[in-house]
Amino acid sequence: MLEIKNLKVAIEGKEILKGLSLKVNKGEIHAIMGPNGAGKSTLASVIAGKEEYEITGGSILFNGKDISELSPDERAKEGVFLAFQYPIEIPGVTTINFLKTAVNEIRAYRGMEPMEAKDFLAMLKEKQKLVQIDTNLTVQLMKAFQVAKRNATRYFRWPCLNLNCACLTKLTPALILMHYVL
Amino acid sequence: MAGSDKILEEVTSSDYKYGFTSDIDTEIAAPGLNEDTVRFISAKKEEPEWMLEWRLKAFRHWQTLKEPHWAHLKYPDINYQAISYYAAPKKKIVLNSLDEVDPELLRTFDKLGISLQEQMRLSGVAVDAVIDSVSVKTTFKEKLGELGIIFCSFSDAVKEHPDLIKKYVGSVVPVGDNYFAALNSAVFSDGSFCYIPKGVRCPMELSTYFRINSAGTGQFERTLIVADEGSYVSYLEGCTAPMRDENQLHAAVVEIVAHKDAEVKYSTVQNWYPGDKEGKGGIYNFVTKRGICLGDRAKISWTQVETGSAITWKYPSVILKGDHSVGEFYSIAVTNNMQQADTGTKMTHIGKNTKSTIISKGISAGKSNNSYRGLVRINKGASKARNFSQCDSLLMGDRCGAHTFPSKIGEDQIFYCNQRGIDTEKAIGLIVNGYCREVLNKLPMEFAVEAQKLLAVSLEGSVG
Repeated sequence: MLEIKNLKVAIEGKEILKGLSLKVNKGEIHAIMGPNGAGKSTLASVIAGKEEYEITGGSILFNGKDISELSPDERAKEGVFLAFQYPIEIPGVTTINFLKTAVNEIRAYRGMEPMEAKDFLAMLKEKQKLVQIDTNLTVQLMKAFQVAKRNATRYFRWPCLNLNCACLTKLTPALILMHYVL
Repeated sequence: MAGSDKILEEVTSSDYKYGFTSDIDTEIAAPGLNEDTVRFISAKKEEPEWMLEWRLKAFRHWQTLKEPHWAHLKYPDINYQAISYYAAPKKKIVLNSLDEVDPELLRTFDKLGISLQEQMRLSGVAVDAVIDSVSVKTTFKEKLGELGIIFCSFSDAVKEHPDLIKKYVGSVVPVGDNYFAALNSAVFSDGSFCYIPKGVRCPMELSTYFRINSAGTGQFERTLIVADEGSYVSYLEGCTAPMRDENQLHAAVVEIVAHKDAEVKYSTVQNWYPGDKEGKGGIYNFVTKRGICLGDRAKISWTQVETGSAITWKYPSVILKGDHSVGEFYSIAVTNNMQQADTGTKMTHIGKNTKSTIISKGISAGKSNNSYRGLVRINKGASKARNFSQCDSLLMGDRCGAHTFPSKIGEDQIFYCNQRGIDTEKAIGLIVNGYCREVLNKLPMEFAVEAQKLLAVSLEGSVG
């Protein structure tokens, strides 16, 4: 599913990844470990398509498709998911509104009709049970949470996006939750 | 940050959708301003003697005043003698017969998306459209008449309801209030007049469309809204103007009087031509808007979304005279390219237990400049006054400025949205709408939708 061949990555002219290769098949979980500065976060960011990083060699294939030229939102629509180290807040935007926008963008990319409101709510309820999260949280603003609750809603978002590949950095609790997603 | 620079540099602009002109037979006065001009305007409008006298008094006072320059705005001097102060479509418009309205005029209304026939069909909004200086049509006049509600052009009101005009005009914004108010009082073109009788709740939103069509003219509309005891009205004002190379002056005055237990909601979605990317052309929007809560428990709220104008200089204000009266100000002001805005509000607390709320959101992009200025004055004797003020600025890109403590649309937020499948343009829309949520929620439904679209269009390609 994810095939990285001899990947070389630099930021501001400084080389960070010097020829990394990795193959992740469907259903597999790979944990990448290493000391600070080894390039773990860089790898996750590059797969997601963060602009600061420049691919100077090698390739990234996702489901056989070269995604190195795709924009971050296109990669997301292909099915790549990056869990962020710190929760991102968007003032004035509710979780439910954000999710609905994201879900429909991804559906449009895949040639699907946008989800009807009631179907979306049903899907939401189902996923909420999966991750055992309080209903009320989804209608609150993304900003308004204490840290613990913030993390809970973050994890909640993955199943809703029905994505294929999730990259998680520095999240021990995440390893446990992966069990539900895959 | 190569990628973000690329986005910033991208040449974009959504074409100003309303930058068309209508080839309507128009009668324009020769440019220049002297006492004869004032007499000419008054005569054209067939005004009674007392109205002409009022104008002349204002004009003579204006001549003694000096143009103010204290705002954070830079613009070339306005040559008051090079402006024409009267422009009216030549064909006489018959009020009740759509068939006899100049078809070109109707086409203009259609282009603006406010087809009068549509308005007729939709229940809810009675429309008064003002093209240049003349109020062209007022619909629903009869329906409102049954409730005793008066909604007509200011010019008509001068003739048909002189007692009301005499009683209230200049009572909230006196002729000597400021330079532009004095000018307006002398040469005001037209506007709306609205009177809601005691205890009546106006069943529909009243709306007016202003449009500056002729080149070299200024628009000086004058609007007066009076809500008698216990009444309620929601009023919408929307504005557009064609693209022109020269700047056009718009110096309006809006007065609102709310008696005991009355409530007036005044919403504006302003999209005057903002000038091109280099700052050429565009409307100078210098407006005095003020409401007075005369009686106890009266309430006035100003809600505005301003995205147009080369220069915006306005401070919708409320005087809280009655005890327990309430004043509110919700505003989104967007500046892009070379636009400048110096806006804000004044809340004057006079009565007891009065309350004011100010929520102002400024969004700056391009090389624009956006200043917010607010004054909350609590007079002696205004015991138990409460105020809540919140003014936020959002900067998009790094070449614009704001005179508050701004926050920036974070690249992090954009990347996060991207990584969840939302492209950058939609992400900005999401972020800006979230940012403006509190204010957008205050707008009547039709306007809220329009405003959201306007925000998206105004900020196209401005991310950084």
